[in-house]
Amino acid sequence: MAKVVDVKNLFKSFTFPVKSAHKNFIQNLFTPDKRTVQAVDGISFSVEEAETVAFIGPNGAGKSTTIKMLTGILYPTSGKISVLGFNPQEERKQLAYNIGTVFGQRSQLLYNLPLTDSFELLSKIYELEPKKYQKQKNNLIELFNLSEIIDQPVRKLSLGQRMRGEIAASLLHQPLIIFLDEPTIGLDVIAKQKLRENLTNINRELKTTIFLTSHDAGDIESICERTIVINHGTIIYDQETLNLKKIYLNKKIITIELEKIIDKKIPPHQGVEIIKQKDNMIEIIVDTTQTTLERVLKNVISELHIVDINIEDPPLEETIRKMYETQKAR
Amino acid sequence: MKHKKPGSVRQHIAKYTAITAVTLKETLYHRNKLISTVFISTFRLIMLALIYKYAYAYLGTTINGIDQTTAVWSIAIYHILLFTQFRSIFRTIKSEHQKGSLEVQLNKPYNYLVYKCFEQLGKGIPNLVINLVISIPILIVLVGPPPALTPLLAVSALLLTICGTLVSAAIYACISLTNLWIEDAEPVFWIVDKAVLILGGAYIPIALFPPRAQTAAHFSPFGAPMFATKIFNPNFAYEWPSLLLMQVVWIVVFILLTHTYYKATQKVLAINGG
Repeated sequence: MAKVVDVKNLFKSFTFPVKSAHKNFIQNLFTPDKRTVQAVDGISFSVEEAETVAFIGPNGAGKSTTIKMLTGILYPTSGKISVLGFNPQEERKQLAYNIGTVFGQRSQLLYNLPLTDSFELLSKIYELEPKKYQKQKNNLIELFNLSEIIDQPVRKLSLGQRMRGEIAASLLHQPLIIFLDEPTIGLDVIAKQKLRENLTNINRELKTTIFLTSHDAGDIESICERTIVINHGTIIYDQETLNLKKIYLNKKIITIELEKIIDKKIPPHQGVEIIKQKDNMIEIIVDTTQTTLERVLKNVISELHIVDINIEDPPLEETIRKMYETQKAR
Repeated sequence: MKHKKPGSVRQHIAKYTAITAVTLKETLYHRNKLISTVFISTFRLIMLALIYKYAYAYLGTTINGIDQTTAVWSIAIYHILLFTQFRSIFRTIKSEHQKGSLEVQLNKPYNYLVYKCFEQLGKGIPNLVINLVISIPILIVLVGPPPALTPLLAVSALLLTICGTLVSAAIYACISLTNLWIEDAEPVFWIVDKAVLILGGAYIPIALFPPRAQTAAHFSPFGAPMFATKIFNPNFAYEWPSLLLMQVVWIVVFILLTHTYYKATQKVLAINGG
């Protein structure tokens, strides 16, 4: 398999002026003190063709800065980047013909015009042959189930529909690699699930390499075979997602709302820890290496009268903190 | 891996004209905004025409050799051609940088600044056409028809308008990049924009300026975007080739400056803290 991304010893720092209490207005204006923040601190990694990679980390870890350097928006302070054999900074435009990008919180679609107009414009921007464009557009409409919304103005689409439109738009020119920055942010469970399926399909069918950042452990588990964890600008973990799941993503939090308040304490089960029990609400944490979710749910349903139940992953920040502590202890 | 490569010149032209076309479509969608812009512009023209009518009634039939009809039509041309100018790209780029949408734009295979200029054309064209249709009859009623032009002078005025548009694009694209360097570049914009307005003849035709101010307007880049407003001046027939040459010089200077500035800006760019 060929390397599509190759990063060697990459650094990025930002320097900005800060006001000093020891300087007067003129001095602060013309010769201000400077502060430097090290956003990316000597990372190296590579990604192979058709790989699905999650690039995760807490806020301010350096994920977005790295993606922006990989796509040629930002210049590194030092280090080497090669994406599809291009130097993103020197050959940004050539690279742009071959990559797709989706920034979850920013839109590339024309807000007031039908989705199809955005596709049309992008086909011109990427200089697509009309026949090729029509074929790819039809494929994407089918793959992302866009037939009902393709003629609707973007402003009238739900967030989930818009995100499907965004991703389809970034695939029109059949990029070899797609960079996704928080693509599922703000989506409901069903929309997230649909999007994850779509991304898995494009990787499987079109062999598109996926490089994704997310705060949602679900995205990582269901889309990515490999996970790179970045914290304070350095890579602290780079392994198969399956390993990450075994070691770190092995807990589920279940929140249960009961029909009425119960006085007795819930007896502990193996692999289950009660973290909160107040009024008619119980919060438990399940260790999936010791028991299965199915068994725990069966027990809960048979023993308690439930009004509502919610299952979620522990916050990613918590997992990363654990990773960081484990690494330090070594 | 088979890489896609940049296409032909024809595809490049199709790309940028598509940008103008789609922005035009979006501009027409905002009908209320379009109507209010045209209303304000027409109102401003009527006010200026009336002011000049009263000023001429008080000061005499000509000032600096320029009669009332010529003065009003010069200013009218300025305000109509204002819609072919690129002032708004400064605030568009500022907003895109602050909101972070710049990162989406920079990931596409085009020149970002050229994209912004073609986008601005799409925003300006409907305003320009509607203003031409509305303002000309109103001005004819208020001050009479404009002085007659030979076909050669009309063509030269068209050339000056096209080159003036390019000078404007180059100047505003250049100062827009300041947004990506400093926190608030609005003062820089204010100074340049006011220089373009005043030296372009937005409120007083250049021919009415004192001699030194006329020289400044003639030789500075800030007067160059609106050289076409001199079309009704008595010596325009002799002056236009040198004006055109000046515009070409400024286009080359500002394109080179913008290119260098853009390269430097890319190296210091930061969007939303990363």
